[in-house]
Amino acid sequence: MTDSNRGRAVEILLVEDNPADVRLTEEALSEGKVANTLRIAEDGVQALSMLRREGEYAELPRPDLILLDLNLPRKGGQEVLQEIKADADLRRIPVVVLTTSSAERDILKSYELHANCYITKPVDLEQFLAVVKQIDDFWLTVVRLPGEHGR
Amino acid sequence: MANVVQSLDPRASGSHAAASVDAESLLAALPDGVTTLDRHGELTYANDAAARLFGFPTARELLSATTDQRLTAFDIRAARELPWSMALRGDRCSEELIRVVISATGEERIASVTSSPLHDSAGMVVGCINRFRDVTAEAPQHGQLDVDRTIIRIATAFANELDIDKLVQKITDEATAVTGAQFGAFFFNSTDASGGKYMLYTLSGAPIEAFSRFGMPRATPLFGPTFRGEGTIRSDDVRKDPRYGQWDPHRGMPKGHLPVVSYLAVPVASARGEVHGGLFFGHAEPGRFSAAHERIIEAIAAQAAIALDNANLHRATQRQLEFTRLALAAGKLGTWEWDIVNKRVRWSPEIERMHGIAEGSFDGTFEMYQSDIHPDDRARVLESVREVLSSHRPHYLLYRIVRPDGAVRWLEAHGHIERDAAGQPVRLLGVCSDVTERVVGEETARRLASQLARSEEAEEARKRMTDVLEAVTDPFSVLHDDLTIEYVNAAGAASVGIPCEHLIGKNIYELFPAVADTAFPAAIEKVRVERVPQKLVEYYAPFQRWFESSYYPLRSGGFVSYSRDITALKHNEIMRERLMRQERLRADVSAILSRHASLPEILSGVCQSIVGALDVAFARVWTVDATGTVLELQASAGMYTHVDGPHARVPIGSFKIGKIALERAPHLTNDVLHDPRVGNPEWARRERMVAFAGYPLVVEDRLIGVLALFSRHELAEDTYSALRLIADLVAHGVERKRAAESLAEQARELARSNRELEQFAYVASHDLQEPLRTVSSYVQLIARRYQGKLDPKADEFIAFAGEGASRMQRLIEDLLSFSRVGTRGVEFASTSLGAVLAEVERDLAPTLREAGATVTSDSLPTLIVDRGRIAQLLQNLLSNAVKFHGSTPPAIHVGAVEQPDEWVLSVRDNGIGIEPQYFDRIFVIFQRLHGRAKYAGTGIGLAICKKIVDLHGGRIWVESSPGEGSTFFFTIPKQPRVSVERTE
Repeated sequence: MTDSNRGRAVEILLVEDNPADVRLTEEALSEGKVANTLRIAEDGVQALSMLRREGEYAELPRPDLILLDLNLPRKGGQEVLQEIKADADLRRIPVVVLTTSSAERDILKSYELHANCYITKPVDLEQFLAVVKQIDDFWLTVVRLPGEHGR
Repeated sequence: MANVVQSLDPRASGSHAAASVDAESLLAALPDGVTTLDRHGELTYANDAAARLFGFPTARELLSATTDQRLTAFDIRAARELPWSMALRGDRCSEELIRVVISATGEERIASVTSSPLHDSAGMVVGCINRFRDVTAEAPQHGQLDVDRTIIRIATAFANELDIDKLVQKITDEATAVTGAQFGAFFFNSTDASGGKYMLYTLSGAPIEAFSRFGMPRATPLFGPTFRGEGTIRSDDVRKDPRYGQWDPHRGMPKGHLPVVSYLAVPVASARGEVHGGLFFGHAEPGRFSAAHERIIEAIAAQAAIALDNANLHRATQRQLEFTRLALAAGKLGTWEWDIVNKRVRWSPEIERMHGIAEGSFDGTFEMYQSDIHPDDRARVLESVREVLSSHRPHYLLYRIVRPDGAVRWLEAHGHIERDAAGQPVRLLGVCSDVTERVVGEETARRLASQLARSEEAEEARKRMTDVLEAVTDPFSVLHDDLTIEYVNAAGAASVGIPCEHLIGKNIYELFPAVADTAFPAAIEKVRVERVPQKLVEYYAPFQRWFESSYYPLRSGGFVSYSRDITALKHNEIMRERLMRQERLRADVSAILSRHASLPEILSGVCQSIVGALDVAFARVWTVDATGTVLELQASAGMYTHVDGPHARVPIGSFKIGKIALERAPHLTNDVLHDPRVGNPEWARRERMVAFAGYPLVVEDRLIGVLALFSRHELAEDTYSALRLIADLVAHGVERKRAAESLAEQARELARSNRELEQFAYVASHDLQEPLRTVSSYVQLIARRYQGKLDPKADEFIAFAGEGASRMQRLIEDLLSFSRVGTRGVEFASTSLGAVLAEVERDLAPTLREAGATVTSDSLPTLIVDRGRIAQLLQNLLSNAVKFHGSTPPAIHVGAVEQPDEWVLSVRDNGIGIEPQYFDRIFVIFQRLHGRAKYAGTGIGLAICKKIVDLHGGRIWVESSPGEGSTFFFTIPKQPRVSVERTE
């Protein structure tokens, strides 16, 4: 348990346009150990606005972890990933690509754009739950992330 | 015919032999060689001419030689099959050229052979008869013209020259020149019974003194055969001839002899067999005399023999006259005596009578004697007397006197001189006779003799000459300067098909008006006016024959025409030339058809080649359009090169081109102007078109188009045949080109559709995945949260929904992996299949263990493949082998067999097997043969296998029978071939 994660709810930005998946992820995270605040962006444009705290999102805290789907309306997941990693303020936020695609080219492209990890959503519910739990465990418990005060 | 064979067989006996005498002597006399072979190819008869061709002196030696001896003596080379081999098969073979190499001399002869099969009464081939004509000399390098010219010159010399010395000198000179010899000599055969001496007659190329120091040649082993008339001796190096140097004392050439290395000697023997002597030629360098020289010299020797026969005849006549003269000389004799010292002449009374004066009236003075001598003879008589006084020769005078009555008498005086001790002439005494009658008789006789020479002798000579000329198988004629025919031989008459008697005395132009249109008039003017020989090779249209004619002016006016009918040669030459052009054309067209170019470009090239090679006016190719009803002009070459205009589109069935297409039959004519199919005769006449040839282009009953051409000259039969082949080539070429184009288009289309399909499969399965995941997740969530909390039916329904979702999930995953086989990049690398198999076995270990399966394998090769895909292929095949096991535990064997270009790999199992009707179906995606309950799977595994094998350029197939297991075979090429379906 790291200092930075302790004492406050972990901020997670889930970029996902499918409400069923959003709901399922919420269900999975709710079964986890770490208190977290899950915010949802339904498309790439919204995701970047939220991250850059533009307009109505000015007060949003900076997320500790981004769960990014690739297949998104308006602006695709890989474009979002590219912009995050090109942004000095955002590039340190770990991005977990969480997508249904298991295509080689998607995996490769994502890592080339500096995704921190790439996970194919398992179709099986049990497996999905297990994966989200592992994300939860790894990124929110094991890994030491740069905190707000570390800037 | 069987009788003929028997009669020609020297072993034949009895009545046959008797009957054969005529045939044999006839054949023996032929200048052409004749042989017969039995049906085994054994030589049964040969005449001398044939024997000579093969390097044997006579037929006897050739016939008695063993097969081995013949094989070592000469070698026969033929461009094609040996003519007699063809004849023994029953095919006649005409005028085939063979090359005969005489081993001993290395000399090459070319013979034209005609072989005909001989049949028995049942029609079986029992042998063949071969006629050989030595045509070595006809080869242009041997200078046929010189041969003609020399022989004609000899003949002319013979006709005009009865002076033996001059004649023989001429023969020697010309023969020496013709052979290129350094020295040529004619030795006269002395009739010395001891056979020891020969007299040098003439020498050419060296002064006669060069021989004066040596004795005359003797009948040595080298010279003897020539003087005995035993045939020609030719040696490239006489010093190496076994006959050379046999006799003492010189054992070869005496010291100082003219240096002779190349040696050629020909007997000069008359037709009666009398050997006049020999012509001998020498050169200081080896190998100077060829077979052609030999033949020329033999011809000259024959002419020389005829000349000598006639000259001897002339001499005999002379001698006869001499006897007459002697007989007449037995007239009255008078005696006379001239006392030189006392200057007194004493006559007997007979002499006074001869002088027509009274007995005793001669005054005894030299002056009186002198005054009686005919003024024209006086000086000659005095000169002769003076000469006699100062020399030792006997006194002889034939002179005229004039009698007092004016009568002229011929007197003949013989006498001898008496000298004193100091050698001074003292007295001249002798006899005298009146020989007037004799001299007059002699004059008459001389006149008669010369008339004889002109009539009988000349007739005899002419007859001999005629015999010679008649024996010449080529046309020969003598023309007066006004171009009337003085003489023509039988061959000449035969060549024009008019009897001799209808030719002689007629004018050439009246007989053959068409000659005026040839090069003959110009050439003949040169002969007539400039007196220079001319040679012409001319086609004489009315006879449809080719003649090679030589014209030589005669000193006595007129000229000699010597023609050879070279139609066959010329036809051969023309045909050879034409066939070569056709062959080149075929090669060109083949090359053009295989070019990478558009169809119109290719066909244009073909048309250009045809125009160029066959010298036709223009050539065109039409092809059938897509509707199959219209011919579209694709290419045109020659005088027209446009492909638009009225002939651009010809409906099938219309005009001559369309009719050719409709009838699918060529239309050929060498008479365009009168051909009803030629639509525009006015154009054809204006453009001087002669021939048209149009061929349908057909491949296996499919009409491809039409190839057609117009020509301003006639086309030969073989040109039509060649064009038919060209049309066939073009038809197949067009068909191939179109097939290749359509194949390439199909391949492109297939690759595109494959790409699209893969893209579709990828996208579809990807997009299908999303909602399916939602369905499946929430069904599972419901199951997880509410299992047992609803009623039992709900649990069952939830279970069905869950199963359906997961099966759909597998299908999508398989579809994705199937599409990935083609979409992922292919990486070929040298890969050990053994290592790959081991890897796959490791991956499948749990499955294999569970099924109790054993895997064995041959030693597997290392090949250039995509390792990942080959692993997938083996994994799928091994999985299948395990999955479809029978009642016994699976036993799987992976085999490898090397073929020249590829490896055949196999995976054999002992499972349930497959019925043959499904062998192809199993490789199609989602095809299943079994219910899901029994064997799980989506039916994608083998489709993926096939795709992987296709990607490697190999093939995959199965051999199986139900209950006996299956063997899946696939091939991997040794050289990697990336298939067209590969996409990256």
